[in-house]
Amino acid sequence: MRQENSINDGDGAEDAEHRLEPGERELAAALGGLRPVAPGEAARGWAIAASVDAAVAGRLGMERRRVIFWRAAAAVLAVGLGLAMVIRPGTREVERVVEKVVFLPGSAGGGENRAVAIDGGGGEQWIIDGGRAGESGGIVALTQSLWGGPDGVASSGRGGRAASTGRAVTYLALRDQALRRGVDSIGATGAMASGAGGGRALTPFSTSLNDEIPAAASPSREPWYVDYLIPLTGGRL
Amino acid sequence: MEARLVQQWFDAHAGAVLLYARQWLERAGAEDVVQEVFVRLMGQKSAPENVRAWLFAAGRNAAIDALRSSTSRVGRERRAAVARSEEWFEARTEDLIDAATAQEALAGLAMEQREVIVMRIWGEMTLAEIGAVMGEAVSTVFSRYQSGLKALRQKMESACGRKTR
Repeated sequence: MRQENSINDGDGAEDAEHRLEPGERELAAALGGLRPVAPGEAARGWAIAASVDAAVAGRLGMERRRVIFWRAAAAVLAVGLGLAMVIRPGTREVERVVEKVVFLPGSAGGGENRAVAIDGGGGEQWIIDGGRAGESGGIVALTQSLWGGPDGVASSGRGGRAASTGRAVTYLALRDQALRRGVDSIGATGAMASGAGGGRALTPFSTSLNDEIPAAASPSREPWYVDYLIPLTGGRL
Repeated sequence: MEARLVQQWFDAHAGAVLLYARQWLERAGAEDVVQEVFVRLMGQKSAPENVRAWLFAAGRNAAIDALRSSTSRVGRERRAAVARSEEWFEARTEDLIDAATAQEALAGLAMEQREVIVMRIWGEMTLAEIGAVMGEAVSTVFSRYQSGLKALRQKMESACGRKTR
């Protein structure tokens, strides 16, 4: 009765072994020495399932890593594009040189060995080379230098047409003046003397193209044009 | 659940769970039960509080379900006969008791006595744990344990007497 009570109460429940008769305890101990047959391979299917789970988890992990990689690549590209938008490369600076050669009659050329540079405004500069007037029966070379703006060429972009028109007017006025009055007539305020030894220093000056231009001999031939670009040192094309 | 932990528990308890499941099923069916139990254990998000009790409880449910799902009573009886002919224990010379005799005596006990004895002796579970698995009071478990051992002793003594004669 005492034994039943102690087990019911849970007190000393693990002493139940000691409450057995000696023969029963010995039998229990002897039975405990028997080793149950170990499970065969069939019972180890859980390990295969675990391996499959691990493989699936690994595959999922690999796909997750792939997604992360592509997201990172997209993010890097986006950042790169953003930086490219913010930090735009420097404007390409080119010098556009338009050489317009006007053939003059020998008398019109004047034979002056001098060159003048005229600031046409808007970054353009006209160089009128009278030194070549003596060649081939008189040549006046009108060389226009245009410094490239943000778009690379001064004449392009917004207002390009107006600039071109202005330059055309400048050219025509200079040409007419050179033809009619000779190179010496240009640059009353800013003409520069030709340098000795072949090299000619150019001194910028301004000229009034609205001056009345006296009539002069007509050119013997139509002018021809050479239009080319010269990249500046250190500039980017 | 970590596979390493499950492997440790498998090594420690799978033999006893297999023996327990074989109280209802033949070997192949019992091994299926063991596999099912450990697959379920693998699927647990966290380790059970009492792994050993969890394994026996899950094994009990799985074995009873497998027994009920048998469509043929004849087939079930045949499988039970085959089960008795299969070894439950490893035959070792150092054992104090003959494994085949113990198996025969154990198989002759009532089911509730066998359950308690297997869980107590080979599962090394406390009476309280056994009571929780079977849904019985500790006193009931103890009485089944004690009566089962008495019955086993009688059966084994009679078996030894038959052999000595």
